[in-house]
Amino acid sequence: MLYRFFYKSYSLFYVLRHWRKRHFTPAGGMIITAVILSGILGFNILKTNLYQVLAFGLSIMLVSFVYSLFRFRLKVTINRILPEYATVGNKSVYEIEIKNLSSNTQKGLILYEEIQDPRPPLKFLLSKKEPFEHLRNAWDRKTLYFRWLWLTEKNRKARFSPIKLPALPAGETIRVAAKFVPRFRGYINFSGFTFARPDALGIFNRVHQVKKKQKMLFLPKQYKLKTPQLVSTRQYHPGGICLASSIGNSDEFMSLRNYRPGDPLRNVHWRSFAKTQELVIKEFEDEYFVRHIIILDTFLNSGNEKLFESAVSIASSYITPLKTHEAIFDLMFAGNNVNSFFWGRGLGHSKKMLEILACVEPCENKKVFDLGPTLEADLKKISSAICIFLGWDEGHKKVYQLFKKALVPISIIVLAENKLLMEEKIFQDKAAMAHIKVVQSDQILEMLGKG
Amino acid sequence: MKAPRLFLGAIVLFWGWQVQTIWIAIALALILESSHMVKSKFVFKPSDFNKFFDVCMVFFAGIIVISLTLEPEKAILIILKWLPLVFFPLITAQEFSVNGTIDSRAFFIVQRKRLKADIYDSKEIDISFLYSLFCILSSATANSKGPLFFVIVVLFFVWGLWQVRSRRVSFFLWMFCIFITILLGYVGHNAIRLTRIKINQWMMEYYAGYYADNPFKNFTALGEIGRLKLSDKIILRVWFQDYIEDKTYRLHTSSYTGFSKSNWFSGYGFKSVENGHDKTFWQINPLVNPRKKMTAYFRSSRENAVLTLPSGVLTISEIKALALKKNAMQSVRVEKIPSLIKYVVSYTGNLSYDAPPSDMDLQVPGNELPGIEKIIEELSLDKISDQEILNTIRNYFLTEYTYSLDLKGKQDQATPLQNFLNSTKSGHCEFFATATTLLLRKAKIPARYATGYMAHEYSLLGNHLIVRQRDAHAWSKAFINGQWINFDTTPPQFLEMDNQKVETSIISDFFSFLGFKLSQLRHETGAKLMNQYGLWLILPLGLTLFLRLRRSNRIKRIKLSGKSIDDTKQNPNDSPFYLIETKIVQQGFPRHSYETYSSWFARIMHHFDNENLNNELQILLQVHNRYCFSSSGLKKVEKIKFNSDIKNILERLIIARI
Repeated sequence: MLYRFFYKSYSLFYVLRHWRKRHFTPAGGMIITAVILSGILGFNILKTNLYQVLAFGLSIMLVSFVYSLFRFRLKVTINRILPEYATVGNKSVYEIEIKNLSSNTQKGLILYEEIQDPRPPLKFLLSKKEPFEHLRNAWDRKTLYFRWLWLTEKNRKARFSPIKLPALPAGETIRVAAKFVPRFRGYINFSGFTFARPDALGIFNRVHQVKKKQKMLFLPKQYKLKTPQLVSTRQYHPGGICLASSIGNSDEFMSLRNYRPGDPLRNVHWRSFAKTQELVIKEFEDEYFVRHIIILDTFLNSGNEKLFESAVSIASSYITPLKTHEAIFDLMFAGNNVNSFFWGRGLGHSKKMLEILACVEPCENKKVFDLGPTLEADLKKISSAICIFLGWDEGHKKVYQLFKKALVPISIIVLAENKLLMEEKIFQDKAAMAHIKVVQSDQILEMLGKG
Repeated sequence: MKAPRLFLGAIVLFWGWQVQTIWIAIALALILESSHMVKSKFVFKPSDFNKFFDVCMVFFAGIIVISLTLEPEKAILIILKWLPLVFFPLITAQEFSVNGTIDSRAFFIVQRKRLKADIYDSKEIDISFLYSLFCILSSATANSKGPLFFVIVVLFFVWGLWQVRSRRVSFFLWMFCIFITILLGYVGHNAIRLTRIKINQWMMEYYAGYYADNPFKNFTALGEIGRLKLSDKIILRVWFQDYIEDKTYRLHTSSYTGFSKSNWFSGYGFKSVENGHDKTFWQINPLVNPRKKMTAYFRSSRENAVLTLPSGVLTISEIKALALKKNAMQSVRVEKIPSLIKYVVSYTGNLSYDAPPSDMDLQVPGNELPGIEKIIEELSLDKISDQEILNTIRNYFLTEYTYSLDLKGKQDQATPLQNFLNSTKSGHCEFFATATTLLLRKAKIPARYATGYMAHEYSLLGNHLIVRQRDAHAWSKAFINGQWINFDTTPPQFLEMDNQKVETSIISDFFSFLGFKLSQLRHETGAKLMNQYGLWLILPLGLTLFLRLRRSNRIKRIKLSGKSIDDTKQNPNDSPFYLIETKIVQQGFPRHSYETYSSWFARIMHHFDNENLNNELQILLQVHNRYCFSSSGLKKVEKIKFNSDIKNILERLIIARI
């Protein structure tokens, strides 16, 4: 009941705030402040002259209001020219093309970008946790204000400043640049535009809305991290195409067999032919591709999504610089099901993986070892693994044991809010400790970055 | 939205002019406007603005405390008056900052939490117009008369609106809108003033009857004192020069002549008393001897008050009031007073200055006549002398009536007084005084109804008499043998009964005394100091903040253009180390663009004779780095050594073998 009340209140205030921002200019806000303050403090007109300020403020508002009643006719077509992606934390620019279809030049307009309503549903407000919620005081946790704020920010993805449009000559097309900084990964859904026309005094806006739905993907935040040293057991052995300096067949001998039509004559084992007078063919190892796997831990037990976001950022930071012509890469994580994607050697592109990472969501009802069966099945193909874990518990240990047993080199990054505490926790597993790097979630660049 | 150049300075000057602190305003305006002229600005982080805002909040809290202590009823106006000064550090920080804006997270604790969380957007805001608004609101507290205030406020608004006008409209249309706005504003402010005055008048008339003791309206209603008697709040502290132990002192507040429908009216208006010396001394009546002296303190939540005085007041001194008025019945009203009022009274103790009797002092209302006449007949008052009448009435009330604080109203009788006289024969001082006054009048003795307090409780805390609300009292004044005398028929045990009815608390008395002492300290000592030196407090506080921020290297000053202002810091481009570089390059060993000095030296030093040269150069390089990049730079001695080392190296490079 109480939470419903909070939810309704926040929701209402969001709508009012949005309305105010569209319908009042900053100067309008100032005049309203002047009117309210002078109205309250200047109640006794015998003691102050505040009533004069009140009267003048009210008259400004009245004149502006009457002016803003005049109809605002605008005939335009508008289109966003969006880039394919934008990356969280990087300044991005896109262009907006506006064509004035009316016969009048439009001057002094302000353009607001509108996005899909970012207010979260009540069940989200109740179930999700703000990353810093554990640091909040009891009142903040009770009122859910910061959770609301975080969820709306997360849904909004980015903030767009109003754009003061240049004059729009009749029949002409102009392009303006919209700058923004994506703050959260995922798809941003643009819903339309609002054109605002301030009144003569610059207090109230008369608005005109245009619907224009478009969407754009914000990739996860990327750091300049050291390229992972993916050491495989096949390194420096003949046969690995990815590691061979020359192009051709693998020359690692495996066995002999009888000739079958179609076998290349160069592979005939002439010594056996001399002995047996039958064509015997040399068999070599299959062409071998090094296959690396990146395991992303999506099992969020602590409820701290900041940790998860950091893990996604690290995964995407590792994916971007990988040389996909040399090896095949697997990305494995769990959502509703266990998901495994691979790319490299022409099978896919890193961008696709980044798209996947942009949309990956944390999973709260499963354990990390749910990945176990899938991993076991693929283990023979894997040359090395990078695991990005959000903690260290029995499930994580089991995953580590799997790789250890299969003698697959592994590098584990454990993200933690408190590095020392986590290291103390892992310290008991001395064998694992050698492969683990504990990284504090707010010091990723310092601990994993280049130099 | 930034205020135009000179706007802030002008509006601060306007504020200073209005609230009569023009010199301070000139200083503030000069500081603010100098921000446009200086060529260097400061780099403030959001946390620095937090500190500036905190300082403002400390000032703000200080102003609140001071205003609530000195003059609680005017607290809002005082706070409002000093707002531009309170927020001056913040606006100055903004004006002298590189961005010219403030991070919105500096203002609110909620926003500061966001700052810590670092996942929310911040917003850069400019407070120059908000500060200007504060200046205008503050100026309005001066309440200056005439049209000038309105005209100047309009000019500032128009100046501000010109900056934000819509480019869609022509200049003439904009001017037309402004003209309409000014016209409406002018009409509107007059309309508000007239409406408010009308409402004020209506309210005053409507609620007049509810004032407890209100000589401004010259009313009092039966039962009001009875209600006052239910409180033990200390309202007055008095020192009598001729104090006698256990004596009860009668202190007069107001007198009334007409009685109608349970209300007493005063037939005399108030007239101003001229003060010959200054605003603290008033001569009420011609001086005579012998004179007695009384000192009193009381706290008032209103601007105006009626003084509680002994009989026969000659002079009132040491009182801070803008005006003092008295009426013919020796009620004294003071206007525009502070919250703690001290006054010293010289008095005679008799009623010789009260206005002579008039017809009003003999009138008995028709609805009270039956009860009064019945007693007159019963006591045969029409057949005895004036002095005997007084004795008879006193004895009658003493024997036949009892004192009670229970208000019974009129019950089945025509009036509450009839009920008191005929039925209950029990009541408090108001009934005794009213009945006595009317009985005396019917017996052809001019009489008046008087209200005031009976000071009888001695307090060891401060060694003075304290007067509580429950000590409120009413009595009669009778004109006997050509002079007015106080005539009180309320049974003498009423004070004891009041004490029993309303018990006092030592703790609350102690805190009341403590509050009084603090208030006395602030009003008599603190206010004087504050008025004289209060503003100077800002200087050390501001200086402390600035130095603290500077010392902790929180504030960095950057040069916008021209020569560096900070002479104490070395210019990195002036380092003599570059001479070595030039010298080596001249000898045919250029430094590649990708090379650091260290790697360069390592690469080329084997070409030189001296094996230690590389080590020496590495040490000098470290000093050079400190010279260029350390916030503290080099000390004077270090700099001299650095120069001499460089010179030494340069000499040795000349004899180098390539």
